[in-house]
Formats: sequence, structure tokens, C-alpha cells
Amino acid sequence: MKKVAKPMSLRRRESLWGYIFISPWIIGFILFTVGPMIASMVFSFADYNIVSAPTNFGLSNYIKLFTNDPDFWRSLGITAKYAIIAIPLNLVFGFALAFLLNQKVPGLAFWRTVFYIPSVLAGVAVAILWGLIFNPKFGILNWFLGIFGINGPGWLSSPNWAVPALILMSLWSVGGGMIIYLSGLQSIPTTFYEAAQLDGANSWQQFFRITVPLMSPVIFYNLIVGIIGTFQYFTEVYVLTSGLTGGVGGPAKSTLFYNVYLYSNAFRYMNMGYASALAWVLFIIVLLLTLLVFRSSAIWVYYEGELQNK
Amino acid sequence: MLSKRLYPFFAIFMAGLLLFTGCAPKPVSTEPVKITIFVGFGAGSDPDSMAALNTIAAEYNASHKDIQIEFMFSTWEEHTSKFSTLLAGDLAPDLAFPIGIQGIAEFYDEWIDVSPYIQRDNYDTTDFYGPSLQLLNFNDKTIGLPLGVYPSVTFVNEDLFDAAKIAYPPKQYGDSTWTMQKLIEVGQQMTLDQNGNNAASPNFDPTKITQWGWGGWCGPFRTVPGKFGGNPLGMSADYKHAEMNTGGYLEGMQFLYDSIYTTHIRPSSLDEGSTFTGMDFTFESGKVAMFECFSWASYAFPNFTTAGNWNVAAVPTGPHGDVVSSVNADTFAIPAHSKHPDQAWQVATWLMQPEMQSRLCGIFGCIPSRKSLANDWINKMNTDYPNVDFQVFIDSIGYMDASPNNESWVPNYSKVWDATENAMSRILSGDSNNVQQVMDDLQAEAQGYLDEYWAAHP
Amino acid sequence: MRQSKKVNETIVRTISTILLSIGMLVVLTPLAWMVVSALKPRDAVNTFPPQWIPMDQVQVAINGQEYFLYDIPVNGETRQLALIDKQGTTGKFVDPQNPSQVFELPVASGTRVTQIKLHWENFLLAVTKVPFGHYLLNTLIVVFFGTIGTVVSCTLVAYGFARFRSKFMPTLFLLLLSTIMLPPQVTLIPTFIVFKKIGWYDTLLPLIIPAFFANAWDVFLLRQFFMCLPTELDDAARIDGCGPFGILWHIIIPQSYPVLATVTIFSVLYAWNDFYAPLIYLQNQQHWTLALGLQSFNAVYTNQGNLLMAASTLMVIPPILMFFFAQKLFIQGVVISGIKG
Repeated sequence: MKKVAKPMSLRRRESLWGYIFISPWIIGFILFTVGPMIASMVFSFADYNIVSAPTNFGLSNYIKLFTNDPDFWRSLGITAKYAIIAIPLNLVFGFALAFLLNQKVPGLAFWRTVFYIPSVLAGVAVAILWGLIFNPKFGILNWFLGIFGINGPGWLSSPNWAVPALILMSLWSVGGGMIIYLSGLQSIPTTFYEAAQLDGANSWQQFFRITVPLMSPVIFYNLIVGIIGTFQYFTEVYVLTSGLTGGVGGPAKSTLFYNVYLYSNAFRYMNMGYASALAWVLFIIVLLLTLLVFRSSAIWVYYEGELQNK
Repeated sequence: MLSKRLYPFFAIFMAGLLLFTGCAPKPVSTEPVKITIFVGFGAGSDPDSMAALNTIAAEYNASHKDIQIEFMFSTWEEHTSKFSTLLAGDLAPDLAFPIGIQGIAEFYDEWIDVSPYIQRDNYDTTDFYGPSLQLLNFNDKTIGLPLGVYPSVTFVNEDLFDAAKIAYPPKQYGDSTWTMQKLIEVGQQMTLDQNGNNAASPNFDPTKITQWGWGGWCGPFRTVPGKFGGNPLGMSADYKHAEMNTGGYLEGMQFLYDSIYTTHIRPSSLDEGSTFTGMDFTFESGKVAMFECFSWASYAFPNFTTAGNWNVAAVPTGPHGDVVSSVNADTFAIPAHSKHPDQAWQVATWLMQPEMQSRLCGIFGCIPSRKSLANDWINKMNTDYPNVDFQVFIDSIGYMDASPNNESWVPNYSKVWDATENAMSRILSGDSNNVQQVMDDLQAEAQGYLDEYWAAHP
Repeated sequence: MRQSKKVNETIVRTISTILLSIGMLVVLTPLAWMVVSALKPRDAVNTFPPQWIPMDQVQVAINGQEYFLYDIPVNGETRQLALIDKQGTTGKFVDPQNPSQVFELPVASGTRVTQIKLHWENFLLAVTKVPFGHYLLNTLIVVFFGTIGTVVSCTLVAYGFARFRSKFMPTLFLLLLSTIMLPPQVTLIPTFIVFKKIGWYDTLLPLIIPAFFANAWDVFLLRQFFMCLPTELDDAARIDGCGPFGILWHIIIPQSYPVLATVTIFSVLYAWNDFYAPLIYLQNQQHWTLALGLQSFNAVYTNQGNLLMAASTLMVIPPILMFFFAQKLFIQGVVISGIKG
């Protein structure tokens, strides 16, 4: 870098414009976000039952969490197991579906809408509808398996099959990810494919040499967002496996996901301090995973318009 | 232009005017007190109830100048987060209504003692059922007045009994033949496999059941131990020692296990998840002959009617002679963070008047806690369900678990509750068939929660 | 050569269509159940076995009272009689046309008559039992302003992260992402207190204003897409005298319609379906949104399964329509790629 006055002020001007553009977020962060985040960190070092002020400041929540709480490890295990299977599955399925829906299939708008519909349905009705698919006697899934002579399991009522059922459920609403992939696929200029075809590349080569690399930023996005979202998986599980009778955590606690356990501590056991500690532990875990993926991105993510010092 | 001579008069006039208005007695500011009523601890959050309650609020507000009421609604699933958030944000409601024993236990320290008000007003409590008053008298305070009760009865699918040519269970309490042992026998005769063999027959195939004799108890596990001579709370009177792997707790869970896997009269939760998907009660299927539940199941009575001709019967006697009709109850409670407890009490007593109580119970589906309203209730129910004997419900009130109640407060309430329910779900789902082991695990877990509580509250 | 290419294409197309059809069955069956259940009478939503066709048990009115109709054998022939009273195992049956003659027959020998009936009135009921107009208006306000706020603010912020270098950008970006890593349950109370102190409790403002300050999910998505756009066009525009805003408006945005459409759709959907924030921040029923109102159909101790399904069906239609008509934005427009000529 030449130490000349002009390039320096250009860089500073660029920085300045950068900050100006991100200022809406910064202002919002200061006004609405940072305060509550700090507050929750303070809570994590105290006993806080929401109704009265926090007391007993100290490390006891964290100590208990790591040394004396089997449910912490259980919920972390269940969540991690779910994440390891569901994230790649969703990634592949979403991509495949989007790819399929980017071909010249008749009635494209219709098909895309059909697969988008599941992600539109709101929590409550979905839970009831899922009783249908997973119904061991009359459900579609077991009926389908029955065609191949397989006797389907108890799914949501069974301790061993509840989590697999939830994984399948997450695939149903893959339409959300599908849209993102679609936008990505649509953004690849057709000229690339035309040029490749002129050069004699076949479909496989086109797919792996053009489509996938150019889609890597989107895949990267879905991976990060998948990690962050999956570890906080809550609504569907909670709606489906906790009700008037029966404790939270589903059949024999097999669906005690981390966030469900956190929520129980916050609003059932009125132990917001402990819940906050759980939240921050999760935060660290997800942050580390995210950083890992970010580090790796230098190897496999390709941006057309990437700036040089990232 | 005023003549100069008149100026003095003018000045005196103005001064007098000012003096007069300045000295006139100022009217006291009469802003009506706004009382917010939190609905979400139990019934009352569905569209019909909300509309009916809003109508009641409008009537109250039209006839009262000093107090105005407003109902605020929350879903039951989120009521703890909404209620606690309001308290933390200094927006505490003035009344929680309707609220049951469980709701009271969830925020036990928050409710004020209303016995000073009862004494101050010389409030007449003689019309309330004794046990229903007992429910609300806790160790250190009285929390509300009884609005409604929901005793348990045995629901009977008469069509199934007719088809099997078996006599219906008795409606009268005091019939010494109606025991849990008899329940099992009748249940077995009413449980059929797809070939028509009943559960007592040697050819019975338990993997192909098409009809069950008994739907179990619809409530949480804590409704069960009392029937076996145990304490619903499963702990010593000083709340320090869990007693969940012996006595009533153990016997009750064993009975539950046997009813599914030994005598086969009750469906497992796997069956419930498949055969009875989406139903709140297996009884709605028309494939269950008997079933014990609270009277708040009345919201599902139309479904029962669709399932067949049904009626009710007394609760059976337990093996040690206990007749327990598990009860839920509705009342009101005043939060300590409320800024207007006096006015809240006034509103509460207005809501508890006999005519209002009758109307509210019509909305929530409760049996009014006033003896004077019993016949009205029976007649009202009979207009919709002419063949059902609703006197059985009233009789059941005499056998309700008033003290302690199955929902009563225990230390670390929600954790202990979840632990008990989890133990039951392990048995219902077939996750474990070693009842003693399950109860030992529960005992250890519950004791841990008790110890944790007492360590923080020495 | 051309022949086999055409055959290839047709094969791909056929296989695709078959796969998609199977997928459609899986995806749409719960939806079909929802609509069918919406048309059922109150007491038949969950039956054993599940009904795929809405059926009523037939009742006849005799002297102002409704009674169930039974197919029951009388003297060797099966007749349709109404059950007017039941004493133990015996029932009193009458012919609705001729109610004076009473037959005493065992109830167990008959079965109730059923017929197919579609209860279209459930849709009307779902809408009239609640202050639907208020719910709809509030929801539209939140959706409209929330979406505008989100799209505008997230575009600006993403542009900043994608196209401008600075020492703190990477850290700030990580900070942005970290805001969504903390489960919101633990920040609920302090956030609530903030809004309460400002005086926004029981208003729609907590649901709308934060949207104008960007959110991590959409900023991240847009940033990824912006970074895929070649910088040569930016440079060309800069040489022509465009400032940063001009580049954003004339270069970046026109190349980003698919992802902007995606962000818009997600934003609309989120605001449309969100019931938790309305539950916490709203009190008076007149301020409620549709999503929150929908929850009340699923209240405990109620029996409104069919109305819940009817309301859910109605809730689902606008987003589906919106997506269907937004398809145009997903179709590849003319791509500006005139660099290499």
C-alpha cells in the first residue's frame, strides 16, 4: 500500500459508507438488543424467578449445569443428534427439490407453490395434522411402508421413534429452504451454461463445475442458519409433545430438546436464572460451531464479487 | 370603551369572580378504577367464552361508575410466560379468574389472603359445599371463594353394555359391590378382540383388540394414589420426604400397568396415539366401555353422544375401602402485585353472586359450588342430555379429595409434577415394565427436587 | 444428436413429474385433511377410524326436539326410526312420519343412520365468532409495515456488509449473527420491560418498529447474494459518477429480484403467522392479530376442532396466493452480463 494521502482517504471513505449503511442495525442493536442480552447474562449468575428481583449472585447456576444436571446432557445429546441428521438432510433435500423445480417441468408455478405450502402452515394446525401422517394405524407413512411389507412403528408416541418422526417432519417444510436455493439457481446467469455447453460439457459437469460452486454461498447460508436454528428447535416439539397431561419432554423424555428444557426452566420451574445460564452455554456452543464453518468457508465458498480483505 | 368611572366596579367584579371560583369546593377527581382480570389459567380462552365474558364486562361497566373491568385473555399453553412477564413489567392484573388449584400452586406466594375480606364483609359462605371451601383453605391463607367444582365420575357407554348384555355399573354411591376388582372383571368382559373373544377368555388375542373395557383415569397420576389409600402428594406431611415408591403410589401405578398389560382392559399410549389420534378422550371413539373423568369433560359431551348412548356411574371403591372422586375446582385469586386489591375483591364478590355464578359456570362448564344451584344445573344439563343421570355428579362432590387435593402445592411444584407424569408415561408407553423400578427412579428424582427446595429455603 | 437430446429431455421431464407428484401427495394430504375436517360437524373431527368424508349422524325433529335416526329391524324388516327415549337396554322408537306409534326395541339391535354433509357454514362461523375485522386490520398493518421495514433496512445493511471493507466489518458481522444465537426466551422479560417503559405495551409498535432496524437472518441472506454479484458493474457505475446509493439502486437491486422477493415473502409469512409477540405485547382483544386469534380456537376445554381447521384453512390461503402470484419475480429476468460482450 502506497502511503499517499489519496488512497488513505478513499479507504476511510469506504469504511465510512460501510458504517452508514449498516447503521440501522447498529442503532437497533443499541436500542433494543444489547440491553436485554446483557440483562440475561446478569440473570445467568443469579437466582431469578421473574416475579421478584434477582438475588444470590454467583456461579452456582453454571456449576450445577456442568456437574449436577443429567437433563442438561440429555437435552444437549438429543439436540445434537437431531442436528447432525436433520441439517445435512435438509440441505440436500432442499437443494435437490429446488434443482428439480428449476427444470423445464410443466406447471412450474404450481409445483413450487405446492411444496411451499407446508412452510406456510402455522404451528397449531400443523401439530394436529401431523397426527395423521404419523398415525401408526391409519397414517400415510405407515400405509406407505405397509406397501413394502414393513410394519411401521409408533412414531410420536414411541420413545424410540419420536425424534426420527420430528426429523421427517422437518423435511416436510423444506419448502422454505427450497425457495432460497431457487433464488440462488435463478441468479446464475444462463450464459455460463451456454458457454459450457458450447465447450462440450455434459449435465454432470455443468452441475458440479458451475451450479454447485456458484451455489456455495447459498449452501453456506443454509448451513449456518441450519446450525443456529436447529439448536434452538422448539415450537413444533413443544406443541406436539407437551399438553394437559404428560410431562414436558415427550414419551419418556425422548424429545427433551435443549430449548424445550430451557423453556421449562424459564417458565415452568420459574428458574429464569438457570435458563439464562443454559442459554449462554448454548450461545457459546453455536458460536464456536459457526466460527468453525466460517473458517472452513475460505476453502469451499466462492463469491463472484468478493472483496479482497474479508 | 368603558367609562373610566366603571373601572373600579369592573375590577371588584373580576376579583370577586376569581375569589369565588378559587374558593369554591373543587370536585374530587372520580376516575373509575380499572380492574384487569387475567383469563388463561384454565377455561375461558376460547372464542365463545371470550365473547360471553366481554358481554359480562360490558354489563358490569354499565352499572358501576367507580370500577371498570376488563378481561385479558391468554392461551393456557403460554399463561405462565404471559402472567409472569406482566408481573415483572409492573403490569400485574388485579384478578386471576378462573384459576384452579394447579394455577394457585404455580404462583403460590403471589396470592393474597382473602380471609380478612371475608371477615370484614361477614361474607356468607354457608351456601358453598364444605369440601369446596376446604380446597381453598391453605395452611397460611384462604385464597378465593369457590366458583365451581369438577368432580369425577365413571362414564359408561350403554350401547356397548347393551350389546354385551351386561348390567351397567351402579349410579348410587354406597353400593358395596362396585369395587375396582369388579371394574376389572366387567372391563375384561367388555374388552373384545377382533374375533369377539373377551379378555377373560383363553382364546383372547391381546394384539388384536377392537374394543376396550376401560379408558383409565383421564387426569394426572396424582389423582390415583388416594384411591389406594395413599397421599396424592406422595410425600410426608412436612414436605421433606418423598414417599413415591411404596403404598398408594406404587399400588396405583401397578394397577395402571396391569390394566394395560395384564388384564388388557385399557389401551396403552401407543394405542392412544394411533387408534385414538386427535381425540381428547378415548371414550369419544365409541370403542371404550367405561372411563373415569372430571366433569369438565362436558365440552366433549357432544362427541360422547356421537359415539353412542352414554350415561354416568359412581366411582368404584378402592382395594382399601377408599372412594375418591378426584376433583378440580375453579376460583379467583388476587395477586399481591395488584394495585387495587380492595376493588378486586369487590369485583370478585360480584362475580360470585348466585345468578352470576350460574352464568359463569355455564360458560366454563363447571358445577356451581353453591348447594342452592344444584338442581338448576341438573335441569340445564338434562335439556341437552335427557337420559344422563346428572345427580351422580352432585353425589360425587361428597367424595372429593379436598385436602390435600391432587393439584395441591408441593415444593418445586412443576419439577415434581413433571417427574410424576413422566413416570406414568413410561408405564403407559411400555418404555418400562418394571413398575417398582420406575417408582424407585421417581422416588430418587422427587427427593432430589425436595432436597433442592429445602436447601434454598431453610 | 438432436433426437437423443429431445428424448433425454422428455425422460428428465417425466421422471421429474413423477417424483414431484409423489412428493405432492405427501405434502398435500395433511392439507386435504385440514379442509375436510373444516367441513365436519363439531363432534366428528376426530373419529375412529378417521373420516375422509364429512358425515353427520342424522337427526330428525319431532315436536321441536331433535332425535337420532336408527336403522333398526322391526318384525323382520329394517326401518328408519327415531329413538325418543331410553330405559336401560330398551329404547322407544317412533316413525318420524307417524310419531304416535311407539316401538319398544333393544337399542343394541340398531345402528345410527349417517349421511354425507359438508358444513360450509363453519368458515362463516370461524370468522364471525371472533372480532375478525379487527384481527385482519391489525395483521395487515403489522405485515405491511413490518415487511417494508425489513426489506429496506436489511437491504441497506447487507449492502454495507457486502460491498464495503473496513477494520471492524468482520467483527460486526459476527456480532450481528451472534444476536440470533441466544434463545429469545431469556431476553423476553428485559425486552418486554424496555417496550413497556417506552409505553408501547398493548400497541402494535413492538411488532413493527424493530423491523426497521434489520434482522440477522435476512441481512445474512442478502449479503450472500450481493457478494455473488461481480464488482465490475459497480466499478463501471462508479466511473460514470454514481455514488454508493446510486450503485445500490441502479446496479445491485435490479440484479437481486429473486432474493428480494424471497426476503419479502419470508417477511410477510413471518409477520402473518407470528403469534408469540402479539401474545406478549398485546392485551385488548381489539388489538389482536389473526395468528393470535387463531390460537383461541385451540383453547383447552373446548371442542372446536372443525372451526380450528376452518380458521386455519382461511389463514393459509392468502400466503399461498401471494406466493403463487409472486412467481414472476422468480423467473429469470434479463441478466445484465454485457462485460465480455
